[in-house]
Amino acid sequence: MKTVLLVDDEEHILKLYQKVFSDDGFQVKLAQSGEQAIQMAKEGDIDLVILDIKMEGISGLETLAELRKSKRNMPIILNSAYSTYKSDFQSWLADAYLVKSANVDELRLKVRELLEVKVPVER
Amino acid sequence: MIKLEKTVPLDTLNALLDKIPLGVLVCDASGVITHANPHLPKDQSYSDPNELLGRNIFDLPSLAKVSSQMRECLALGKEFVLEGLKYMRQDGGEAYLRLKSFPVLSDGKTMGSLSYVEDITEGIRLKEELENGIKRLEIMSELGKSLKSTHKLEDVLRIVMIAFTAREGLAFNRVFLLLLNQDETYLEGKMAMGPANQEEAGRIWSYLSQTKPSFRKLLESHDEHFEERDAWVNHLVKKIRIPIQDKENLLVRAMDGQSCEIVNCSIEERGSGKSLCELLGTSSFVAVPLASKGKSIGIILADNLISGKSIEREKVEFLEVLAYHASAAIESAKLYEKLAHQVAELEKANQRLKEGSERLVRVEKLSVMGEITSQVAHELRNPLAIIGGFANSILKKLDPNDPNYEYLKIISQESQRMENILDNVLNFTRPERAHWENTDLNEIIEQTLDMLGKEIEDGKIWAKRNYCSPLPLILVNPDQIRHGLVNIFRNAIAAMPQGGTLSIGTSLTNASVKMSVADTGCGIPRERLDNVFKAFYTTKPDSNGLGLTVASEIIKNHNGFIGVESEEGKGTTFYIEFPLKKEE
Repeated sequence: MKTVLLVDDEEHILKLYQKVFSDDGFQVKLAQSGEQAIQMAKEGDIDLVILDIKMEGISGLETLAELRKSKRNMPIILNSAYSTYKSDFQSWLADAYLVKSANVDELRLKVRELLEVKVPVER
Repeated sequence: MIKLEKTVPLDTLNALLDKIPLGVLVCDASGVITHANPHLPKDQSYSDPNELLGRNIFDLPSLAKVSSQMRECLALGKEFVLEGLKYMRQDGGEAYLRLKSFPVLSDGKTMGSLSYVEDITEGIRLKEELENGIKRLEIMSELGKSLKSTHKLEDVLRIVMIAFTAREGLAFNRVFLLLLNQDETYLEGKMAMGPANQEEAGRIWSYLSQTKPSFRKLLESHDEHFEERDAWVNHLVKKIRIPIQDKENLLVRAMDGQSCEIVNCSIEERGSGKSLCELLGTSSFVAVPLASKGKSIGIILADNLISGKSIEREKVEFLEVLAYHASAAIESAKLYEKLAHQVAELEKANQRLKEGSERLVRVEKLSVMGEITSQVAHELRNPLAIIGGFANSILKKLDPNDPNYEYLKIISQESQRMENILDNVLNFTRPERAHWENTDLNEIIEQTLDMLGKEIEDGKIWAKRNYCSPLPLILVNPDQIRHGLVNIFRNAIAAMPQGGTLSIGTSLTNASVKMSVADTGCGIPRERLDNVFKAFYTTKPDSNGLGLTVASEIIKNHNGFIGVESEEGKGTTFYIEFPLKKEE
């Protein structure tokens, strides 16, 4: 079972995605800040990260840069209410950039696509 | 009547008559001159009055015109007076006499006559001069009043020319007006007044003698078509163009000298004078320079081609006075014209400034509003995603027959609608780091239609294209334009729930690229048409009322224009126009 790490400082977003991705059959881990996410990634066992950008503490973009240092091939999806960070080159380190929506289908598809493509490569 | 009661010695009488300070002429009953005193005006037939003694009064050429009256005086004893009897002075000059003759009676019988003869030439001349002076004053006063009535240069010029040609004015047959051009490098024929030939002159004169307009009325007759009516002279005057550098030119000389000149064409054998005479076809004309505050502004030429009357020297002085006033009026009309032009320019500049500042305020407002709205919109996106997300997530697992299924569906739909609003608001207000590029409008339309492919197909819409191709590229933000077009196309699709035709056309004008979007839908009632671009104005239950507002804002931000026409039951057409950028 693949493990997805959800990073967001909004508790209810975490709850929503936790439900969505558990329903889809993933193991879900939750982090409420960038620092926590970096820590959890170090401990290992994460296949994909869904990362919010605007958060208390270090931002999603900084978190992304930090995660990339150790896990170069781990798929990371930026998922923000803002579309404007798309033009920030730091966001280009992510594998995908999605704007938050009540319709989570796009996010679900992206997760599936990234995991299925990346998994064989890692093996 | 003189009666001699007593015999007076003839010598005494003659000595007395010689003392009278008037010319005295005495003759007997048969007309033989018996005495002529030294004060008698001398004509060409004698140099000394004494030469007249013994001659018959009826033989004197100067008195030939009064012979019948003199005969009556001698035969019937009637006295008579005659004013203004013309005679030739010894020096050949014309002069006028006043003659008063009395019969001389003795015992009831006419013995002869006694006549006083007085030279009244000076008096007549002074009277004439006075009359002329009064007439000129009248002309000047009428002209002055007329000139005061207008500021328009054309009117001033016309009034001056009428003053030259009217019989009550200077009574010239034709008048030509030449003015310095703007850079004061050329003297150019501006306009002219007068008949082309004898017949035309006859027609005009008979018309004027029938209608008898007053001088003032004539001056102020707003006959703006005289240039067409007097086509021939206007044709002539427009041929005249003299470089001011040509100091040899007759007119330039006259203008520099600032004095009127009568030009006699018979002695102008060559050069500018001759060619001007030939052009005007005249035997003589007068050139009247126009100058204001010592600065030349032009020249007026006037002649008597039709009547052939010579131009009197005496008129010249008056012409100079008239020219002075005409010049002042022309100069002030020119200044007025310049001023009016500058005022218009200023008004235009002011208008541009106003528009600019309004635009600035709007942009400023938009950007402040934009920041706040953008912030709020983003903050709303999270809770929306959560509400809608949970609803969707639950819906998936829920049996459609569950009583809550419908309500959850509503939550899901409404949150979707709110997300759409946020999309529009963000597009509307986002301080976009503009990504502008030269773009083909036809291409953008095609891309937009592609994007909406499924909606068009599902709605049974036939997209009919009528492109003008190739179109020049326009500098736009393609993302924004696509967004605006999506909104307009969606609006059209929504107006045709049963399907229909969506006609999209492009066209090109000198200054802009235009497009039109027409649907065959329900149309918009007249009273609602004014509101279609207003924010949150909608009549459709499933619309957020922002689509057309955003579209119109986007087009306005491109300095473009959007308009709408609609007929209920027939459909709606949107017109969009993008200006072509001028090379700067």
